[in-house]
Amino acid sequence: MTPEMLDRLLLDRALGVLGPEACALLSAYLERDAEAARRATEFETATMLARRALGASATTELPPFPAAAIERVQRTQRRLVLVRNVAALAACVLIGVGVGNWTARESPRPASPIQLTPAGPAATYVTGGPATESNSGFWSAQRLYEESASKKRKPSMRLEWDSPLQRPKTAYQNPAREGGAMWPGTGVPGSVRRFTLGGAT
Amino acid sequence: MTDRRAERALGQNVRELASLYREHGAALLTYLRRSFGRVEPAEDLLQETLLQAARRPERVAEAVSPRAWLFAVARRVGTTALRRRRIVAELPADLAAAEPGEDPRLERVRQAIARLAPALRETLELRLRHELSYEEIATALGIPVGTVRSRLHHAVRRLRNAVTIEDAESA
Repeated sequence: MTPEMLDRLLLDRALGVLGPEACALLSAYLERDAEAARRATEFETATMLARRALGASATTELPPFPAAAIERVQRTQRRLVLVRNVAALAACVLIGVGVGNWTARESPRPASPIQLTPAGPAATYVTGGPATESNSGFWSAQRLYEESASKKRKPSMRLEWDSPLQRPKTAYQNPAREGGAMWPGTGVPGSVRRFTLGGAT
Repeated sequence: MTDRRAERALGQNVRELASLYREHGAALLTYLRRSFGRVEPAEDLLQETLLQAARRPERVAEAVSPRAWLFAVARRVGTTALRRRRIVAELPADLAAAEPGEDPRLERVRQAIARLAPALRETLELRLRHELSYEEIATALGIPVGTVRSRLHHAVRRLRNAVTIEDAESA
């Protein structure tokens, strides 16, 4: 054991913080080391005199316990905590509404709103009967018909092959025209496409 | 929480604080009186310490040593008061007065204690007068346990030197 380590143990024992087992081991060591025993006595004398000089924690007369003041403080604390929680909740709601408004402003809107029209004669054409309650509304046949009718459709190709002795002809049907007037066609609307044995020309 | 439960919790907190006050109040008052000045401010400081503890009842419940935590609060309150009100600590007069026929070494130790640095003196008092453990002193002063041990060892060595040197001279 080094002298520094021994000193620390002796001081801890004099201050009363050494455990009983460590104290017993140290006492056994001191019986064999007179110099260490002398130092131990000096430390213990110094701490004993210091305790007397400082005076033990005397029985001081305590003022009465301020129960009313403490209750008042705790009620105020409880109110403060409640106000803080409500303010935090309000702040979260405001932030959420603000973010929602901002994202709604940023996202593009449709050019024109979808307008729901009441059921009319076209509904009769589609369903074969008078407009009924089931024919009105967002998913009504009336609305779907009008939407599809308003969409531009690509002209469809039609093959004309009147005789096996003649080459087949293709034509594009214009769906926008009444009766679907035919364009004599090649691969594009307005042209005729002739087929050869080797492939189309 | 309903009003009734809140009231019960409030009552429980007050009772716990009252119990801590009965157990450690005297030691706290002595510490405040010794470290931070005259008697009247010491009682005010003690009340302020209790109010600070009442504001944080969860800290009292969580503390490993409620006594050390109360000492830490008392120290903070006293330090704030010292800074604000400039109370001068009257330390030498608060040492146990010399009695006729007492051990002459006692006066030498008193003088040696008065000459100690404030940090060493405060640590020594918390250990020898209030019997706080090293860990409790560390909590109360907000310093590591190793620093507490080193301060106490240094203080006791100085006191031992004051006693043994005087003894050697007188011999």
